[in-house]
Amino acid sequence: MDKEIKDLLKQQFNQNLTTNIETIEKVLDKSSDLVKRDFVIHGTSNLRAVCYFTDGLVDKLQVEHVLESLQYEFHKYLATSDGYVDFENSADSLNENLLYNSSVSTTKDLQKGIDAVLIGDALVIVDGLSEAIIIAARGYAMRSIAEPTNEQVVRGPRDGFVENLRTNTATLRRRIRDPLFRIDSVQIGKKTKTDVGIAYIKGLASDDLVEEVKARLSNIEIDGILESGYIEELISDGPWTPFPTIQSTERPDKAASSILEGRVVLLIDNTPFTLLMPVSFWQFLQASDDYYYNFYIGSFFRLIRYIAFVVSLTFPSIFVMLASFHQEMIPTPLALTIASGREVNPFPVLLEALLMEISFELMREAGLRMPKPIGSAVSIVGSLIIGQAAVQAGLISPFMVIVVALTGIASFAIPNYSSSFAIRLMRFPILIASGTLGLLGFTFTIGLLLIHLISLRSFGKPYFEPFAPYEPNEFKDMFIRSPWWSMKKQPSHVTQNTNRVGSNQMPSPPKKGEEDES
Amino acid sequence: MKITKFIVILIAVSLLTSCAGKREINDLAIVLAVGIDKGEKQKFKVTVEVVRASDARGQTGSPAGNAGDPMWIASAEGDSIFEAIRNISTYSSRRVFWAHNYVIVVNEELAEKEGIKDIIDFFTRNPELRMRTWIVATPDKAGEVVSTQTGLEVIPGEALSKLFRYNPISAVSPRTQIRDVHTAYLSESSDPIMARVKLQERVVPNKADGGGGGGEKPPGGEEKGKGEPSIKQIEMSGTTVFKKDKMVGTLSKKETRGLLPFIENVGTAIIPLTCPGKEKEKITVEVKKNKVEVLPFIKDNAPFYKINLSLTTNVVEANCDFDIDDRKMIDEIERNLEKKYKGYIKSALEKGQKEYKADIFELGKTFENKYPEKWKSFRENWDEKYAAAKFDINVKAEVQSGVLLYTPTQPGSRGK
Amino acid sequence: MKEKITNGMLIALIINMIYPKSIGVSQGVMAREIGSDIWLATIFSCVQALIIMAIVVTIVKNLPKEPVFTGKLKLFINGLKRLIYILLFIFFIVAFGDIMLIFVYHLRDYFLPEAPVWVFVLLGTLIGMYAIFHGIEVSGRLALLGVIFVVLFNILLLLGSLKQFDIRELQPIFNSGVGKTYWASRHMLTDWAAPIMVTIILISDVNKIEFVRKSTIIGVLFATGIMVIWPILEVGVLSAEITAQFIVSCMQMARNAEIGLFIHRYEMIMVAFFSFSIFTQIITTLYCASYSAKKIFNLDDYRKMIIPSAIILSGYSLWLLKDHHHAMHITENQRVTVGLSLLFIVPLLFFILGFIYKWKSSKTA
Repeated sequence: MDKEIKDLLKQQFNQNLTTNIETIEKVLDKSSDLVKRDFVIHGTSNLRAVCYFTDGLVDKLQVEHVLESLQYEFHKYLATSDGYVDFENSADSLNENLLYNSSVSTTKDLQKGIDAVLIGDALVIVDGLSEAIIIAARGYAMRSIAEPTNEQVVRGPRDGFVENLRTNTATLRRRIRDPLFRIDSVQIGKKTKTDVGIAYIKGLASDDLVEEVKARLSNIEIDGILESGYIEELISDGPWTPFPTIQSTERPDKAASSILEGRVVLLIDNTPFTLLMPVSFWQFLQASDDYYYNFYIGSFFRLIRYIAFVVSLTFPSIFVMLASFHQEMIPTPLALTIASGREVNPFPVLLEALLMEISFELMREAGLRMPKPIGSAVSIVGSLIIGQAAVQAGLISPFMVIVVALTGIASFAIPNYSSSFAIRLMRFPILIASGTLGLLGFTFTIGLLLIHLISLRSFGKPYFEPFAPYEPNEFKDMFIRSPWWSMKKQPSHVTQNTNRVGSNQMPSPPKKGEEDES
Repeated sequence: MKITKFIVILIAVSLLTSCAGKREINDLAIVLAVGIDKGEKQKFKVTVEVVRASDARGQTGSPAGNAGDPMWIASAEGDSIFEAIRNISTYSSRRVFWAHNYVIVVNEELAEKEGIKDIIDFFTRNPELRMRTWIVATPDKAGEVVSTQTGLEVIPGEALSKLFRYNPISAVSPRTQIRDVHTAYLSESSDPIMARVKLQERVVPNKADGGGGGGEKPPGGEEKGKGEPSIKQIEMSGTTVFKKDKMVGTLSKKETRGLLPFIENVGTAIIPLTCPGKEKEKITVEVKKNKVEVLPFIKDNAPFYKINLSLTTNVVEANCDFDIDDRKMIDEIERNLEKKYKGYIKSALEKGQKEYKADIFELGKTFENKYPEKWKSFRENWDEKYAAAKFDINVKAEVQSGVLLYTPTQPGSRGK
Repeated sequence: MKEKITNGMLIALIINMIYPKSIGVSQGVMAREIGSDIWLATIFSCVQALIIMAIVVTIVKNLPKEPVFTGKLKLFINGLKRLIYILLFIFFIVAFGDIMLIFVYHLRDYFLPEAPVWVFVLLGTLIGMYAIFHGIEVSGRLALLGVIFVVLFNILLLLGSLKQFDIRELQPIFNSGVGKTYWASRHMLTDWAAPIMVTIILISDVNKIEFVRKSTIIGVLFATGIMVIWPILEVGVLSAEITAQFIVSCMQMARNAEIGLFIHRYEMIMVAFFSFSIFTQIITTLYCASYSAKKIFNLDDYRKMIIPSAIILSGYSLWLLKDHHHAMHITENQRVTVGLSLLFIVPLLFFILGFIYKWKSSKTA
């Protein structure tokens, strides 16, 4: 059966309408949302035609409009005076003379015709024509553009990507009007046939990179792509790493700025999450409003985020290490405070930390999965149990609550959600190693982690750039965000290192002499 | 990926098999001060002051603080310090933990007879210990000093530590850390010194017990101190001088004042002087800065030192009419101060050089730096050479200001 | 694809290869011989290292292309090449022992005195194996981070101990005589052998080989700069006597440092920074050892030799570290003999090899 349909799909359109209808109905069977509209073209000797479309995916007004023109005016161009039909150039002449629709194409392949129906176009087959006409009439319900909830900014554009690929390309195109801005398209997924747009600026993104992305995409063999995460995992450089080597974002301004920095953006249909590549590790700590604020403020918040990164990765481990191995390193007054808090504590520090970390993750996950109205209840109960009752019962030391809470808050300050997950995950091995081997375990796991990160690449670009390998130019936009008038150079992976910002862009009052002249 | 698996297994094994050296912070007996006395039966008697964290810190949310004593005093004897400590651990429920030790108190009797070599060795060999621990000597029982509570701090060790931290204000004892003693002990020319503390009974004017300063209880003045409650307080009193590792004597508070410029930069010392012309009235100056210059020479095949001390001072209290404008008066104050300081230094040198024959002024080092060649012939019998050394002391004092006041504080007079 | 390391990475590697060993243990060893002049001995050794480095790089860089040999000569040349790599392998075994000594004596003695030595050696070797599995470039990149950490380490130490610095401890210079000071510098020179040997192995992987000599010289000078701070501080703050008394003098320095009253000890932070420099050393040495082993057995990929080399190297370290006296005795005596003689023999053999190549090429041409 399956094979039969496959063979059928390889066919071309037949001149005989009945054969065509039979074939299509064999393939699509009696799908309830498939609409078949038979009609006769007036003014000819009973020339029959049929229009297929999927209900719900098309804009019915547009289809009706097309049908109207076909029924009443087609014969003017199609039929010769003696009533016979000239089939030689009819498809082309249809295109050129009759159809008002802005996007019409013809195809001979049955496969393409059926794909078009399933995507939301209308397929018109006229008896005697060996080509079918595809009329773009897509019009389905979709979410309107809204602010992305996962990546919020205080200052910056409020629009976000939506599930519709075309809308997304439009949002990007509205930001970059460069003639060299390209959006190439491929389809991935044997069953889902998901449209994927590859957006980049030709000449700015290196050709190798674009080729590499296209090659990796074309290697994908999968039945379906339901979210960009599928593609991300299938084309990522480090298949085993927990760290994202491809950035995903919902923000068009982020995507646009990536494109301007010579990166490639993948827009995937049916998901608002676009993929940006290549990335370096530090980009996950940069938020888009860093660039919209004054650079002092941007730099300060960026530094805060670096602190958040270090804290969320190491703080519980350092505390456990200090409290169970290296008590001599704690300043004496602090050591006494910690010791007094732990006096009646039944658990070893490591176990306590693990318990707390896990219950924190539990609360986070529960809060996320709960229906929204109950979500707040979880946090209240959780904070009461963990914050108050556990301490008062002497189960948990108050200091541990502070440590875990601070770590949790720090991990929320990391703007990219997937990398904040990775960091949270890495926290556990470091915690266990520090709790069992003290400083040795700590340096060992951090060392392994560092070596792992250093050895990663993202589409040919070292993941830890500009730290290692060292790229002095890119430090201007790493720990701090330098003012725009000073960041003249493109990042190093860009092909032509054209200046982004013109020289002498630093604003200054006009000179005395010039003022007089003008 | 075979190698990855291999590595993962090895890591897991090594992590799981070795929790060696793990000790929780609440399983430690944190020592904040240690006193070392001569034992009754064995060589050393070590008294440790262990802090009871929950009581020292009050309530922290955990139902622990049952308002007990903030510290626990334990002592044991042994033929070596380590043995004594091990003996403590026979009845201490927690592991004795040294890293937070603030202060080591050494009994002078012990220092005189047994020397401090063992002490230095023990406290520098152990990785747990910090190098910045204060080390002091006391004529009283070290154990008693360690367990004496003061008014302001809950834990005696902390009190002792703070006493030294803010010591520059009084400038009556050197700030000696184990590191300094260690260096001086190892050095071929210098000899170690230690700060000296003692327990002083003080009457508390208005209180039956509890902390507080109060006046010094006159030693013999029975009739005055009679009936009034008094408590023992730790106070600094000069310096203990060592020759190699044996204690040889002490310097009084005033002599210490003469010693201090040689070894550290004294911030503020308060010197009361008599007012020029008026014997009964006092004027007090505060030494803000001092700079000492020790210039060695060779005279008659013996070292000769020129010691130039310059002092910068402020007048902080004047009972007589003191006017900063009055050059003549200032000159006289300066002369007075110079004389006084010269006396301090002279007495310190006298004691150190003649009486104790200990080079606590780092004079050998100074000499070596200037005459490295000559030093080679001197080093063998440096003790004699040092004893034969002559000094020329010059003190230059300068009164800079009267702090806030410009004219003297005197009753308003009419019709002047 | 042949992996390349940039010249900057080479500089960083040189710094990391010399820094951890030379600041502590070697200073202690030298202080036992010459007291307060250890900073001069350090400078002496650096000058010598600079000269040797320049000569060695010149010899190895200008090694002519290998001409075709036949018959007995071919056997001889192959034997000579194998001998060179066997000597290098032996050198790296010794160097690995040094590194493990540093690693263990810093972390174990001062932080985890109850943990067994084998855990340290095992974890150190593991991290090395994991890293070189990804190639030498990883080591180069880690070296860059290592340099940043080392500089931070230096700054932290300066912050904490400059207050107690006493210039008088440094005087008089050449207290024990110029000759003796120079002789003491042999300990440091043995440490310097490690970066020189590493340079020999890595020289063909460097991106811009024409600047390699300049890079190595910059590396040596930079390393001297951040290293010489240590003996000066050690003598000035601790005094020569204490430096001599301890096995790991730099830890004693670190223990002494304090920032304000609250942070009375922060050597753990410093050692955490420092350990990345040690990791770089472990990785690089392990790489060079497996590279030499590859050359000995004429293999195409050094990765096959990682595990055997790691076993041999860590086995030697375990033997070396069986007790303090044993380790220090070997470090002070046999290591110097082996290290220094190899430092002179290996370049000499390379020179002979180059000479034969040249002679052969001119004969065939």
